[in-house]
Amino acid sequence: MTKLQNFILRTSVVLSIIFSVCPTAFAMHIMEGYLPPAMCIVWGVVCLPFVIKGLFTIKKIFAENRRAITMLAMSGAFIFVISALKIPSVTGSCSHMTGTGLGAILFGPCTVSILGIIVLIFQAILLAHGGLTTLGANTFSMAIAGPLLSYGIFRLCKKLNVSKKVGVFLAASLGDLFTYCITSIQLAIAYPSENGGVMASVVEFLGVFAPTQLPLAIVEGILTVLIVMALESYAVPELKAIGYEA
Amino acid sequence: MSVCVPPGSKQFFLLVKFMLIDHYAQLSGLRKYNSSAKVAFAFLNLCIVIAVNKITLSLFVIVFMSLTALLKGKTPFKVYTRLMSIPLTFIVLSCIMIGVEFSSRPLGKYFISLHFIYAGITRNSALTAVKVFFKAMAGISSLYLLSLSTPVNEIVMVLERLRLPKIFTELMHLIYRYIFILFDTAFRMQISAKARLGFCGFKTSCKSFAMVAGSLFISALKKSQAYYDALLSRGYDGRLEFLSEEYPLKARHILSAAIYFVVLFLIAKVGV
Repeated sequence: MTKLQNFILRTSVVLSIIFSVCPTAFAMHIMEGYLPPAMCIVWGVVCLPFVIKGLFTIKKIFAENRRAITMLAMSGAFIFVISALKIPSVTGSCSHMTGTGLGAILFGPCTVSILGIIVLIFQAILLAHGGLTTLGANTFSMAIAGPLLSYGIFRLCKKLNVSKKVGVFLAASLGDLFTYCITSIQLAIAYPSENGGVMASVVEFLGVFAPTQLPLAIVEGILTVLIVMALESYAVPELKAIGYEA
Repeated sequence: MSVCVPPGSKQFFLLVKFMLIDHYAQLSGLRKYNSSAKVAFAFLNLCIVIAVNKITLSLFVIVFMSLTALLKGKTPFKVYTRLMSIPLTFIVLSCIMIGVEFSSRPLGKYFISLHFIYAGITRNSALTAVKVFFKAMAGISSLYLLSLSTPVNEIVMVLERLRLPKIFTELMHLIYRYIFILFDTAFRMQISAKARLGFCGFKTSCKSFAMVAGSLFISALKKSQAYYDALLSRGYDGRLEFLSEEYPLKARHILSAAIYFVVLFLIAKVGV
């Protein structure tokens, strides 16, 4: 065996051991204590305008329709439960949806930013995914950037008269991929490579998480299409009630 | 726990397995400590860990936090180690990425050639990786001490006292309650889907999952209407009031926390 073959074999053994010890691959939550303090604060501040906009939107919804309080709470709980259920996996490890694409399509990006931040806090406390100091960074990638892109793609596809299935699939899977890219960038900015700088690190982090994230994004896209189709055939009045137009 | 699941049933164990942390938070020996103090302690501790970023301090925090959770909080050892292993994949993978440097020329003490580029480990990069690893583990153990000793509704009460927007905390309270109801519904749906030959093979699994998710959404919205009616019949006028119960803050606890932080400070000064 050459040196390179030896290295590849060893790395693969190590990786397989890691994944068999811990088969839960939650979508890219940055763990507690991982980021330096400056990064925690910066990402928190970046999130602020979106969160404030979301709060105002929700306030307006409540003023118009009081019934919305239980509905929004149920929607938040729905996103949490969907993101905690195991999804059918391709790679063998058990994986989970982010649910951000679905949330953005159903509730719109402003509402999702608030529901998303609550879901992230609960995921950190109840499921140990993500953390309190990394909440700002996670909120930006999962509750703001991902849903915004998903929603944008969904609207764009609608305007261009692309078939709805394709639109939903693209929205969900690209939103998921975008979340993963943002997280990689966040990690790279926090820990840039010594001689390659930030860009080299971005490529490194993208590469190491790609094997789990790429299949996951496709599965998430397929599942979101199936869920939206199921909803449109069974739940038209409910969908109208939350302001989603078919 | 959710009202609709009989204790001892298979579903009950599924639910407990899932909401492991919440279950043990309710049973914890540290449950009756003042919750604001617990939140403040955990948060201050987290800030110190990530700001100081020294291996000795991180190690001390890991040992102290896990011993407190195990001995004082009475979390079973098996449960605690399982919880600690959850974030391991992410931490190990990203620490390897911090440790390994890629470049067009060989660098560092240990490197291998990958045809076009060299992958190597320099002293600095390895040190950063190890530091980050222990720092993250210390952060996680402090978070666990909080979440394994304080049920979520008490944490939300603390946030309420911090004057977060009322809408936000109301939503948190309600979402926390509804999570259990929806989990229960989702588990029942999955069991009935399995009984009807769902969830076998990749294609069927995708279809079953989507059907469960779709009907979960419908039942969630139906329930939300029923709960709104229940709120109205109890005189809801746009404000939700939750009963908050605060355990007294004891001098003994303040003193031990103070001693802990002094020790932490000394380690931060002396340690590497």
